[in-house]
Amino acid sequence: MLALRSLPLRSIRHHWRGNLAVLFAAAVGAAVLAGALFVGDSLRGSLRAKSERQLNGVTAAWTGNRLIRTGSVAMPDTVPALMLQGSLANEDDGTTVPHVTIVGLTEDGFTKFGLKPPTARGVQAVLGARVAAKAGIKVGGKLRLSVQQFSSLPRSSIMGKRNAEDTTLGFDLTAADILPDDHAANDFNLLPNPAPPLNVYVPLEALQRRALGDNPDRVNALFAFGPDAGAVNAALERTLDLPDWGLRLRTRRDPPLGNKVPSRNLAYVSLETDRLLLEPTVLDAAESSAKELGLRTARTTAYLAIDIAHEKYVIPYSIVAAVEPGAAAPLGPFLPEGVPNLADDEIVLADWPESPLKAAKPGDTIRLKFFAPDVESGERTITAEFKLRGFVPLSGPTADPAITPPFPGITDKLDIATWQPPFTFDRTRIRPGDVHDKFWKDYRTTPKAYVNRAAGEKWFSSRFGNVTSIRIAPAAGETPEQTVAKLTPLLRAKLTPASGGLVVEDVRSRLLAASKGGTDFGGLFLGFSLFLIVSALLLVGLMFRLNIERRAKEIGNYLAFGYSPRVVLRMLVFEGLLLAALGAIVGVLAAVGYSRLLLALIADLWPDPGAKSFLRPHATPTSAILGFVLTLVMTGLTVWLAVRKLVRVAPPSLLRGQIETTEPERPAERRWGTILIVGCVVAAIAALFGSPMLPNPDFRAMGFFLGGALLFVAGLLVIRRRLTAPRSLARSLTDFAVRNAGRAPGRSVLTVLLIGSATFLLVAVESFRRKPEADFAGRTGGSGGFNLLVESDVPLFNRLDSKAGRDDVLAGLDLFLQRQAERNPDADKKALVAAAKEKLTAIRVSVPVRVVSGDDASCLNLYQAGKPRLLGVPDDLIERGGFRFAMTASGAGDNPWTLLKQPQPDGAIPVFAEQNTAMWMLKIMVGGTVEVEDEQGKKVTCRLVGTLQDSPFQSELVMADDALRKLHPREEGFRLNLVETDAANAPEIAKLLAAGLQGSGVAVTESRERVAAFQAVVGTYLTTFQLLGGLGLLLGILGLAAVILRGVWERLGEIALLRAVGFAPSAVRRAVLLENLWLLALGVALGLGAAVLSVLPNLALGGSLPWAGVGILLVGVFATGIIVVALAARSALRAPILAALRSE
Amino acid sequence: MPLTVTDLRKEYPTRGEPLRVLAGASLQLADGDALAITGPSGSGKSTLLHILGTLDRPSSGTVELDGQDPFALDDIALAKFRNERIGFIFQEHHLLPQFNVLENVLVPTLVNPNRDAAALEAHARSLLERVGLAARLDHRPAELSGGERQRVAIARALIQKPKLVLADEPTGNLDRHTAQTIGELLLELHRQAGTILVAVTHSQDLAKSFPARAEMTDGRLERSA
Ligand SMILES: Nc1ncnc2c1ncn2[C@@H]1O[C@H](COP(=O)(O)OP(=O)(O)O)[C@@H](O)[C@H]1O
Ligand SMILES: [Mg+2]
Repeated sequence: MLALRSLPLRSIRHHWRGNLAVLFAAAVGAAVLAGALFVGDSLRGSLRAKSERQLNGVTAAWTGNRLIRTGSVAMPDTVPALMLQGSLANEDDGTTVPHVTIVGLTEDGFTKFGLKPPTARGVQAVLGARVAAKAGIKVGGKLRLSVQQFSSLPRSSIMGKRNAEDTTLGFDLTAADILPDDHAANDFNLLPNPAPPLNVYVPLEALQRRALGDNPDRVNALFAFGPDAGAVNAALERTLDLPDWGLRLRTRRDPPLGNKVPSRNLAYVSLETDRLLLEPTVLDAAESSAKELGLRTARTTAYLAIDIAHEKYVIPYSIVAAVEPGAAAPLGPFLPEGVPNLADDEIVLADWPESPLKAAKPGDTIRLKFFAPDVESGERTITAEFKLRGFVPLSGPTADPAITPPFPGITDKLDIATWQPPFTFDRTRIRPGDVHDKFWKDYRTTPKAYVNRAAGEKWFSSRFGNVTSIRIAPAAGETPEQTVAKLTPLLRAKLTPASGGLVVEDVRSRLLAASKGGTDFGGLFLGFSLFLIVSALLLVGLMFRLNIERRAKEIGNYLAFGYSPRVVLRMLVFEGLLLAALGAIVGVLAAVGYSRLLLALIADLWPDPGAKSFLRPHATPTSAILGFVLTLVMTGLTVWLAVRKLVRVAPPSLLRGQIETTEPERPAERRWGTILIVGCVVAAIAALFGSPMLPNPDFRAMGFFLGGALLFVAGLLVIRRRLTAPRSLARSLTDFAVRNAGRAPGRSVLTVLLIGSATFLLVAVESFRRKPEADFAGRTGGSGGFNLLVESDVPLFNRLDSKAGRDDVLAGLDLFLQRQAERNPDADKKALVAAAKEKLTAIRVSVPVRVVSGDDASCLNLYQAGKPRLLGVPDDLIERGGFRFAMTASGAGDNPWTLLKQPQPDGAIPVFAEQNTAMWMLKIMVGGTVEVEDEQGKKVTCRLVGTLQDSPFQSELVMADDALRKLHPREEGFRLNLVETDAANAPEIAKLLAAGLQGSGVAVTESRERVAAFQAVVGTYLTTFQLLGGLGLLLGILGLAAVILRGVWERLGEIALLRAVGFAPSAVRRAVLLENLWLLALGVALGLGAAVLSVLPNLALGGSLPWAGVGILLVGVFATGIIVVALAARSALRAPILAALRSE
Repeated sequence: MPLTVTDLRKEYPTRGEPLRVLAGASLQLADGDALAITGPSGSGKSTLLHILGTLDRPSSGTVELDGQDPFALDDIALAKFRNERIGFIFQEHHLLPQFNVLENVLVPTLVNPNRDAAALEAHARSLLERVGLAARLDHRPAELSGGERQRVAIARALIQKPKLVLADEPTGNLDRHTAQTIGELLLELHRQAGTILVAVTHSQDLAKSFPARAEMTDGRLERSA
């Protein structure tokens, strides 16, 4: 039965030919929309799959720079591991692979990773497929592994060892097995970073024996397969013991004992650490435990003095202690008789019969010369002056070698001459049998001088602390051993794993959260596709409108029957929606294929080839539904806009087939039109000429783009006006054609808009494509003047522009050449080393930068960077200044780097970030804050005080090294060195550094290359955008074809007339062709003109335009356009006129 | 009077002087009256009919049908007024190609959601029977001749039992013989339904068969014998 509701259905069926075009356009819109969403789905889905794969089943994990006993956590499905970073060299040909991760696993661990533990003797390694390929190694091959040597002592304290040969450790491996390419253990990686990991698995015990030396039963990682972090943390809390903290409660002296202090028993308990300096958490825990037991404690610092001098008399190499001078026995006192206390600048000397300083009187000046406690950036001595308060006898508390904790290489040596200290040590100052050697043999490490706590904190403090022991007095009537028994459980309870930064993390949840993506690709591609979507919608509007226009009489009829305009409008929109729904279904289905194409394209264009290996198409129902609904809504709106005015046209006009009210433009309107055109042109000129003054190249590009767009709009307005303006007599066929284009100005303008805007976009976005700027290499350019980035797996402690640093390189080079000599005996090693020595002086400046590993925050990382990498820059870089800034907070003065040293009112840490990283990855602006974690996993707020431009620092937050050292006191040494050389020597130096520092796993990159790689990401996006814009252009041409067909159809009578008056069919065809080529040419010329004008200033500034690409594009557009127009004209003219007339 | 038209004026804006088409046309018709309007082409006959049919608004003057001024109504009420009170027959039949004959006749009834569909269909069938198309109910317009199409259009104009039937050159596109039968049919149905019929025609034959005639000159209606 016929009903109002069924009218649109009937219409659709009857006008199916025209509707097919609408349906097609709607399908294109839906395909583009849903396709973009599917690309987002694919990225998220792929990253999720990649996360699961790279986790290898690990749900929670701890990895840290603290060593705990292998058996600390005995929990099912939790395995201990020793993870080391290093480099691997193929012993056969010397090929070196840096950034290798060595995972030492128990047998259970091997099984959990789906690996077979090697059984042969020696260090047998299971190599990841990538490592094996890079090293060119086969099963059975020999490899040399270099890793950082473990040191429980902080390397940047004066007692730590810092030379490259002391910090790195090398040993041989045999390739027992190579993983198949598709084994998930190839990809094991707990961080959401894009770089494919290079994994090597070895049996834990063998690795511990080689890497840990004296104290092998330790691990630095725990992997839980199934349990969550809470469960493992609880287990750790139960089992973690003092040795895991490197702590001991000592009640006896260690041998060798001094001749005059033979007793092994201490009268107190001494809490000491392998790390030499007690951590603040340990201090707190120990002191509060003692307090609970009602015990007295005394903080004590033993420090090495190079000289204790009075006038010209000097004692070399002695222990000075910072103590509580008045402490009661057995913890003190350290005061001469009758002296109640020591002031901060007062010193007490041991009354030592052979002392060279015997002549000193109370009140005299005693000079103390010692090493600065923090030597990370070089050994430095300090001389401090004290007033002598008096002497104390060498007996009782003041003859106690145990004030100094044991220190291997010093306290265990029988003679001073056999000391093996890490610092500069002048053996000649002590002769066997002299007074100093005698003191050592009699009293060992008994201090020769005492100062108070305040003086000790002032002079001997580093970020690692200043307390070498806490001495605890037993309760009355108790032995030290009994005190230890009571103290231990209390101390254990207070030292929670978390307080030592030993926190097991839910790595799986973290990685899955990060896999939601740093950049919302769905959103990004929606953005890129916006133009295409708008084109499709314009096409929908155009097609639907063309369709409806043909039915003007029908609409007039309905109105005449007394259908209200609203009812008619509703019917038409409903009809459009039905079509759109059909089209959207088709489109969403097509989107599956389209998104695959896009994904393949991205994988191909993406600068990191690794992306290809894991990007897989995914499509969620949510995206499909969203794509469908959005298409429906937008199409509905478009259709409504397209027909809204039609039902307002007076029915008599409609009945006559007239669809536009052709009222002449009123003078006021015309005036406003003129003002608009002039305004656009003026604004465009301002934008084009003003933008080059902007310092930020992205804003500059935006300015150019805006200028071009305004020109385009102005041009479109002019064209519209010309098309509707009264004309002179048509004299030629061309005139005739041009005049015809003005017949339906709305339609013509729409066509010009579609084609022109596509052309404009395609060319104009070229301004956004970036390369390092011309002044990149300069000190105020993006590189800050540093042309080489030296990154190492093992931190470097010596500056590469210092002698020590150069020596490290030369020593490594020597080793390298030695190995090469085995293969190539002809090379003159000496000459090569000499040449290298000469070359290395070309390193003008090298700035060491501290690196705290974290998530790569650069736009190359598809994951979301939740915990960005941190860089700490030293004061000399801050003073040097330079680099290019996009934006800085106020108060920067001449050197924005000083902002890093200005404390923030709320205590936030000032940081810099690269501008794209800040904007797209961290999503903050200057003044905004971002949270990072300190060593203990506590959240710390950082404030962005500047954004860098063209910067190699894209993956991280940059802060002052002081600040970073406070956050991560255990992060020692420098894994990044910024090197400045002259450009000519750079490649040579890069090679030298890579070879000489091979053991530290050094990779040298030119900063220009690094920045170009980051900028290539932007290039990828632009290319994608242009490709999508190209599709938009295609839609424009399709629209043009529809307009032509419609135009010809409308004018069948007119054409018949032309033929009747004697025009040949070919002449008529030519007229139609000309008319439409005119529109095509107008569109392209307008778009291209505006675009070229907008790109010109950029060209003048040194930018470039791919003219060939633009040329191909234009030729393509014209060729396609002409073909489409010709075909349309032909088919229209072939239609049998009489049948067409009757077919109404 | 059921239809009272007073001093209708209609001007169209142009680039130059406004074009005056109606200059004070007046008209009064009683139930059952039938008026034929003649006049040269371009004299404003169609314009007058469009205004009577509320498709267009007059520049000034009033139209009252059964004492109601349709131009005082809002859009929706006006559409309803047109739907229920007025039937149109155009020179071009304007049948909807996607519907068959019976459906075309029923199209104007669809806007009323409370319609008695069965009764209306019966009425449509009887109308179509009366115009002699009982056997062509399920034919599409493309399958009909010009005269047959116009018969459908007449049936469609009467389906809502309108008060006022307006015909704009209903026989203009037809041959003389067919024109005559259509004209007779129109008048006959008009008499049966008791509507007010206003027809514009160039055909003297058709005009003569009407009880009353008027001529359009200088934008005014002059009754003629
Ligand atoms: N929408 C319009 N705009 C301008 N002039 C119009 C419009 N409609 C009709 N006319 C003009 O009004 C005059 C009367 O037209 P019309 O009523 O169709 O005459 P008739 O039906 O008597 O031939 C004609 O000169 C015509 O050009
Ligand atoms: Mg007329």
